[in-house]
Amino acid sequence: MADLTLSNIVKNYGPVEVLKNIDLHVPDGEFVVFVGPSGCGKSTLLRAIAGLEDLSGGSIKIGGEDVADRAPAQRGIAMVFQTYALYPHKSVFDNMAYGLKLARRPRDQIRAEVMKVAKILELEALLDRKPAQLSGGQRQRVAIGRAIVRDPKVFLFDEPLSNLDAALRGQMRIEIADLHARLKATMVYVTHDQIEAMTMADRIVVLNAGRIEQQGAPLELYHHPANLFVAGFLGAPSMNFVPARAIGASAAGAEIEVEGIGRLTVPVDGAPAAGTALTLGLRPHDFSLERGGMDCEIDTVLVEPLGHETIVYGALRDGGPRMTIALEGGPLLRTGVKTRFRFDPADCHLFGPDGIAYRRRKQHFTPLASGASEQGANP
Amino acid sequence: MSAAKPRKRASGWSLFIYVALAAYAASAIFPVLLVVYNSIKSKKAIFGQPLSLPGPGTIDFRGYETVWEAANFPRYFLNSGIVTLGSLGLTLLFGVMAAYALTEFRFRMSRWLSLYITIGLMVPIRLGTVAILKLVMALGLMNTPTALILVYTAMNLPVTVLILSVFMNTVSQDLKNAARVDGAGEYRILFGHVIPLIRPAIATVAVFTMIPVWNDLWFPLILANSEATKTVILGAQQFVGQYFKDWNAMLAALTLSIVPTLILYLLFSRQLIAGLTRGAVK
Ligand SMILES: Nc1ncnc2c1ncn2[C@@H]1O[C@H](COP(=O)(O)OP(=O)(O)OP(=O)(O)O)[C@@H](O)[C@H]1O
Ligand SMILES: [Mg+2]
Repeated sequence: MADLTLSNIVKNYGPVEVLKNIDLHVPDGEFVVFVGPSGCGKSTLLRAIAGLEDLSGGSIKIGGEDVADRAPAQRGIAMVFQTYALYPHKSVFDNMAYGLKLARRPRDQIRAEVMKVAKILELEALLDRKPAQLSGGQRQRVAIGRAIVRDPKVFLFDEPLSNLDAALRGQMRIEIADLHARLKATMVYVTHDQIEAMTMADRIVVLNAGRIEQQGAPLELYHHPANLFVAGFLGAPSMNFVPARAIGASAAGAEIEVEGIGRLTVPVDGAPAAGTALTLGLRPHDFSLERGGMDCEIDTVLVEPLGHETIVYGALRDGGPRMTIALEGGPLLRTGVKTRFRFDPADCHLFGPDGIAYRRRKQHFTPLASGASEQGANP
Repeated sequence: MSAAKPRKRASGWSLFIYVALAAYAASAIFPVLLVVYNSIKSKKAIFGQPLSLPGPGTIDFRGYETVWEAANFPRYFLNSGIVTLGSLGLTLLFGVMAAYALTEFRFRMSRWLSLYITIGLMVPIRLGTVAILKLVMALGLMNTPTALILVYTAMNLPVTVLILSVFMNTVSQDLKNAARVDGAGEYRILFGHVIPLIRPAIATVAVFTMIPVWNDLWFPLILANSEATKTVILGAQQFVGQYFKDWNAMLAALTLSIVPTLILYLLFSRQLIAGLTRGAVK
């Protein structure tokens, strides 16, 4: 087991900068999830850690040792790929044993290792099959098994579940989380899936265009996004953004004026100067029909009743910014009518002209040790 | 209702395709058949009714007797075999390695190297015959199978590298990376993981490089025309002298020379078809 330190990682493909000065420290045993839009460099970063990609600059340390000059197999890593990447003409057993065979480990030791892992992952009955004879979920389990057999210091996962259907994905997600708890290994996990990121991660790293936008605990990122990008990227449906203007500051926070909503005071630190152009952020789930000190009128365009919640799409006043609203349960709403929705200014996010967030004062969760629920205290 | 129409049109179209292909196949096979069945006709019949099939009056195996007695034919067959298999082996070995390097690694001159190889595809090697002849003489390789093997390897490498590159690009990058993480070296990845996946392509390349080599007359004539190094095709030419032409023997020799190619095709045909259709679809 070991920690992972990336310092100033740079990767260029010709003139294109794909990774720009990435600094990251992953402590021993942590489960880190990389998220970001397609093409932002997540896979490239993962391959760089694995040694499958030459760096243009920077250094990588695993367990305190610089691994820059080491081949992938010598770095103490194992990787699970999106396409499973099982050896098609080898049996499940040989797929899992391959790394140890190449490392010239004794035959009976290899056998023991593979059997042990096969037992953990319930693959014992499949050991003689070829990958083509397995289902998608089984293939991914074999790929994970192949990684575990290598007994790596750091596990690297590149969207391992994205080729599975929703039900299986949910199940494998729990299995991987369970595996992490059991092996206590350092894991780096790339995903597109918000739920995977939020539920599995000790820490989420949000990447955008080759840079780290923000990193932190999932709920910290959700409730205190550092900038517009992270705010819009995390959470589904994503946050509504409405143009606003600063009119003053008080002890209670920033006073702003929003066309279509009116004046409100958002409790944030470091209030902006009057006249500054701002962006107000409102999460769909922070709206309701009854609760909250502010309200706004929305032209509803589409109502999606999902049973446990209802998603409303519309616009703020005529031709105003598009809004998405998520309400608990299944209130009876009709499309094509103006509806008033309420929200609490304390739930609002406020971003400056440069897109950087003002720190919100509302404490949305308290550490687990205190026994409080994660949603924390509503006023 | 609406589904019936396109189907009807498709069947008309495929009928047309079948007819066109059948016509093409017939025109390609016809000369070969002509050679084969004329080889068992008497000389008079060959000239008198070249298109008619051999019958009771015209059948004559004299050509095969002549070939069997007159010439060193087993020797020629052996020479053809050595040259063909030798150049095939070298072509595939170097072709596979070059294609892997060009598709898998980014190095300073890789673009230029690809271009250089592509140019080799466009310039017929026979244009360089004089230079090749000089080179072979300087190396002291005149009248050796080695000379032919080297020339044919050079001749076939461009197309081999090109075809194999296309197929190697289809092998999953993740698979190669998984093998790297498991500790496999590049040679092991190439020979143990990539080649098994592109076997159809290799069979295709093998057949397409082998047949022109087996059938070539030009380079054996120029570089290896001694009795000991003659190939079958060159050997067959001895029946066509300036003043005397033994058509029976000539046709018999050519017919015999088709046999190995045919056997080869039957052996490889499944892989060959897989290779061709995959190349066409992708
Ligand atoms: N071999 C390459 N040559 C040139 N550019 C490349 C190469 N590989 C990747 N890139 C570029 O690098 C960027 C990052 O690619 P990468 O695969 O890391 O993205 P990603 O974040 O994993 O995306 P996705 O979520 O779609 O998997 C992309 O813009 C891509 O176009
Ligand atoms: Mg990726």
